[in-house]
Amino acid sequence: MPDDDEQQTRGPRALWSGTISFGLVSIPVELYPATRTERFSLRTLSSEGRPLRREYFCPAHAEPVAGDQIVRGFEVGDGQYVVVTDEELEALAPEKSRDIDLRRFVPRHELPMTSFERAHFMAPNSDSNKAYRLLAHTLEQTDRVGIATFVMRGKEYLVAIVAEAGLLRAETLRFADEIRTPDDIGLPTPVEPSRERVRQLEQACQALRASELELKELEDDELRRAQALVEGKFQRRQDVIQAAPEQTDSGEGGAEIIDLFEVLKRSLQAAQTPADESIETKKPSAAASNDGAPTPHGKLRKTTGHASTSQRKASGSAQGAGKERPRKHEHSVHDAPIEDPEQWTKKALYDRAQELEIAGRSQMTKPQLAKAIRRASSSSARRAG
Amino acid sequence: MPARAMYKAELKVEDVTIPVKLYAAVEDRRVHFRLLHQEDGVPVQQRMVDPSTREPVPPDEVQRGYEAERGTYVLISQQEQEQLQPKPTRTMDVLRIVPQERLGHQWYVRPYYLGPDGDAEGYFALAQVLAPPPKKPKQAVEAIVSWVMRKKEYRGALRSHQGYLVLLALRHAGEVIQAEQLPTPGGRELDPKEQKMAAQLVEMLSGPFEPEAFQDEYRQRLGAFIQDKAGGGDVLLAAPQAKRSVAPSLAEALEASVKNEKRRKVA
Repeated sequence: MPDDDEQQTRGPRALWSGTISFGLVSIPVELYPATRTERFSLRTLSSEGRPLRREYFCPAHAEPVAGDQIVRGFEVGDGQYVVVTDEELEALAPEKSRDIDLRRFVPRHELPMTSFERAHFMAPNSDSNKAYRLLAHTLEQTDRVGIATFVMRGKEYLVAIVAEAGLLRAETLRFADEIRTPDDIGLPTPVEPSRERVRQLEQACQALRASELELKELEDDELRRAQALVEGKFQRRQDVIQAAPEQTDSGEGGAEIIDLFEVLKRSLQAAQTPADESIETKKPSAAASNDGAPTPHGKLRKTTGHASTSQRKASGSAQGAGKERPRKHEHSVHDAPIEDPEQWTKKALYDRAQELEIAGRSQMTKPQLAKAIRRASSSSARRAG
Repeated sequence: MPARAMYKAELKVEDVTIPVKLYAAVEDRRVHFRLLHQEDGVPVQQRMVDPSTREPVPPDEVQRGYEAERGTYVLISQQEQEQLQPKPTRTMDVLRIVPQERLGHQWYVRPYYLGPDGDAEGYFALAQVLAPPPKKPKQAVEAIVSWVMRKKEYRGALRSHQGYLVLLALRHAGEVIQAEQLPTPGGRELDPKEQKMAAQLVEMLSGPFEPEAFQDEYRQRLGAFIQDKAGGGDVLLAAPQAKRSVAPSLAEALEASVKNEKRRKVA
């Protein structure tokens, strides 16, 4: 078990925060993924059991290539590339937006099933969740979804705002030119089947009819087999090896991994009935956050640094001080970081570099990543200002 | 020109087998870049190196292990990895048929089309049987299917769509948050007047879904920029402007919005 000093939390964070607008109504929200990825991933190891690292190399020089020697290019001809720099990409990126502007509502069933790409839950992000509840209620009553475009992580998305059981979801949609039609694929024109064949299939389908899903049928058997294999071998001490102690690259070790469900639950619970709406709230008061004790939500945001607890408290209270509300800071994690990247773990730096699409990031050392991130963040902050 | 099928399978509905072809329903329009060595423009490649020696490790010396605990790995041999893979089979089994509303959109991963592969009659008979009764879209059903493709097990929802069969690959149960267990934001009862105005506003902003009205403008800008650069043109990029707005109270905002919409419609 790792020391408390090294304890870090690692888990999903809000992907985006901003407002949903419809008309002049403004609803502050936070976006979270609605799904988690479960992967059985294997680490590559040397014959001595040392975790290997990925490296870029130039086949022409047969030599490794560092991050700052790598550029991204678009192939325009045989072996010919147009280079696009980080700055150019940043300048082309849609303007950072904190708003989902709902201009159009459509009947829910009109959205073709082929459109849906990725779902996100939205949690209210304000002292009052009244507007949120009103929108959710209205969408459910009218059986409609709101359509808008918005910018998240440097990309522009077409999104449907859907309400179900009082919760709002933002579901990104594919653009029309990304979806093929039967015609595009060249499917044959339908033929009229004989009544005999139709009856045959009606009978077959009837036998399989059920009113409910059986979630067990949708479980990942492959994953479970793999986990069972690993579990068995681990307990029998079969083929188990210890990597060398200095290996800090292999994950963040001992991190308390908070599941997406927990994150969502906490975020939604914190958004319950604020104090000024007459029902008691469990939400910590502004005063509590100022003494450095992180709110559950605040704690989850701090996926940073081997910083000792005292250091983290210092930055935590700097965050809390001067703000009226405990966990809602005006910026999302995608603006210039409030905390110094120098204190982040390699993984957190890498994740951020990934969001900013910094080329050659997997080759960079921690200081290189921090520098690149700060550069990217300051240029965007300047632009947004 | 017809698209090429990704896969061929035998769709089994109880005792009935219908041979089918699988086609991707998504067209990848994204702009893809390659990472290049700046010095000579050669595309870089990746390899695994031993961090202690900084030497590349040849693929046949690489082991694979699962990190059971920090720094502790359980080695999995090539043979074991192969045994973990699902047995190759062309069968696509229908497990059950349920109302379409059972699975929310968060379950969908990727859409495919199924096309007939020799038995067009059987294919279109199934498409007919799975189609909802006319004018009753809410009674639509979907068939939950399982199949193996490219060494992976898949689950999907098979539906009838415009006379054809569409297959939606689904996430596994462990990946989807059970929304019923999430707390719903609660509070004081909603004011009926606000409810009415909100419904009115939604009504005024309602219309049919027109997907062609939306385009991936970023992708277009990027494409145009690249073309320009390739043509040797001088490309200027203006810094985008940020917008700011301040919202009034909820009731005021609703009222003003409804007024605005009314004015817009009259104009």
